[in-house]
Amino acid sequence: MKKSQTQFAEAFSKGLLLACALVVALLLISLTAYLLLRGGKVLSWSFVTSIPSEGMTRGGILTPIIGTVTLTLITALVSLPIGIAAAVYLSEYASNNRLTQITRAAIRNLAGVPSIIFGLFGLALFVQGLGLGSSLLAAGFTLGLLSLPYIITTTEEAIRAIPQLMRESALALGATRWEVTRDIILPSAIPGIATGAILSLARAAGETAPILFTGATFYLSGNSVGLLDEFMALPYHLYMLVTQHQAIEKVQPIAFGTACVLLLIVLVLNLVAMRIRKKYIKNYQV
Amino acid sequence: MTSTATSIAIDVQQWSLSFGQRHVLKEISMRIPVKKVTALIGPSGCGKSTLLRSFNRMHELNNEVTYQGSIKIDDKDIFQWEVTALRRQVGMIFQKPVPFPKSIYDNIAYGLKINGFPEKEIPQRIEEALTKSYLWNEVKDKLREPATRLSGGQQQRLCIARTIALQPEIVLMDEPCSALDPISTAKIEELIKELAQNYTIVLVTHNMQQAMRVADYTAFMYLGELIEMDTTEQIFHYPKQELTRNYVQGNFG
Ligand SMILES: Nc1ncnc2c1ncn2[C@@H]1O[C@H](COP(=O)(O)OP(=O)(O)OP(=O)(O)O)[C@@H](O)[C@H]1O
Ligand SMILES: [Mg+2]
Repeated sequence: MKKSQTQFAEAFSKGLLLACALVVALLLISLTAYLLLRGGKVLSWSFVTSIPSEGMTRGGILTPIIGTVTLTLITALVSLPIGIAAAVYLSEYASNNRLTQITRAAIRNLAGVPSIIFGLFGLALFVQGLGLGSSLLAAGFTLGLLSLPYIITTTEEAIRAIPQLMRESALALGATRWEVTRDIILPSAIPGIATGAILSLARAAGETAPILFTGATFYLSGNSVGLLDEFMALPYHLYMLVTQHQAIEKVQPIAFGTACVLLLIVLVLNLVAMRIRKKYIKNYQV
Repeated sequence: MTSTATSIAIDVQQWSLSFGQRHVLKEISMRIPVKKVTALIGPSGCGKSTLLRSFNRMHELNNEVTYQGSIKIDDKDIFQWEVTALRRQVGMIFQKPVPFPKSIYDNIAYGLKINGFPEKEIPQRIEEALTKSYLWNEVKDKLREPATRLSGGQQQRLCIARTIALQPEIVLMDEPCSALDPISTAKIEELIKELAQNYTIVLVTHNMQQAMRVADYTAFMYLGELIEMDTTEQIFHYPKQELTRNYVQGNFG
């Protein structure tokens, strides 16, 4: 009696979990299928290699692709060094006092701030305060700020997963704390750091709100990128085509094609994260 | 135990240590002889690890710790040593072996590099250290493989190799066999005896047989105090203190 009851509970919870997983998978699949169905016919090599033309009703999306890629690069250059350094400081050097705890809590809360707020902050600080104007640099800095809390948190978690005994073993060999951090902690934490970093960059690449008033523009004639110029970006391009364009019928396939490309970029970034993780775990199980 | 000044590796005088308000070591005085194996025994929680970790200043990471008294190594107070130099001179093997996430070769090369050994001596020193820790034959064909693929016993010998590669004078071992099977344990014990020809060894152990098999001297600790220290023979067969007798005969608590 008792036994069959626990067996039932076991089977039930397993089934429930499976169902949840299936729902998520199904959602993802139907989303992708829908996008491909609507935007698939415009997808071609020339779509990603030519610039928009004829009021964006024709041509490709090269300009916004270039914009998003450079933007993400700037975001990475700003947020990775600062984020990783902050996480190393918090987990390896800061003593566990009130100030540290408050800092940590503040960082966690920052991760929950709506991205439009970051946009406003970027407008005030970078566009106006630092006088960068509405530009690639200002938008990159804004997205860098947005990514910081995620990068700090995931890096700290990766570092914290390293056993204390590993640090002590290195110290016992006469390593200084900095040597332990540089040679033992950071290399062991790389899979975790890389995964976190790529996921937060992928998220940043898909953001619209923070770049809305910090640098993105709806149309550029050429495809040159200047750090202090405005730029086109995939998510904003998509938003624009769907909501602001008069010839909605004409541009809809292009909009869906843009969505497909954006999704593809995010997917590729995720795959890279998985690869890094796998490679390191295979070589160096911690 | 009578010793001349030169044959003392670690000279502990009135050493007390607290974690915050908690007094863990109480006025411990002991002299650990050079190139001998000294075992630290005593019930769980009596402060063996804490004492051992005092010797290479491992408590420094914890800013709650306060101490009194003195510990001298090479006639020099440990706090007058530069901490990295002290730790190179006083190696430590932990209960659970933790190889670095590097190859077998690099696990040993790492300590050599950070301690400034000349680059061209490194391969030679690695081979020597692995030979001395009886690991060379098992790993010589896979030096570039991740150290984490070794068995637990092999990992512990690798940790010993990376410690003795630095040619310390003293090796501290905190229950080095407690995570190992009997065969690996026998190998490590063999190794400890061998190492005692060149190094001073301080061994924390819960295993009385192990202390009897490998230790020249044994110190019995109880509730943070050193109750008695003498030759292993004396401690196990003719202890002077009632407490020691009860403990080594196994009728405790
Ligand atoms: N970091 C710490 N903070 C506070 N108390 C500690 C700390 N480390 C050890 N202690 C306390 O100090 C006492 C001695 O601990 P220690 O680890 O030295 O015992 P031990 O003799 O090595 O025991 P075991 O045989 O179980 O390893 C214990 O009561 C322990 O709870
Ligand atoms: Mg202990």
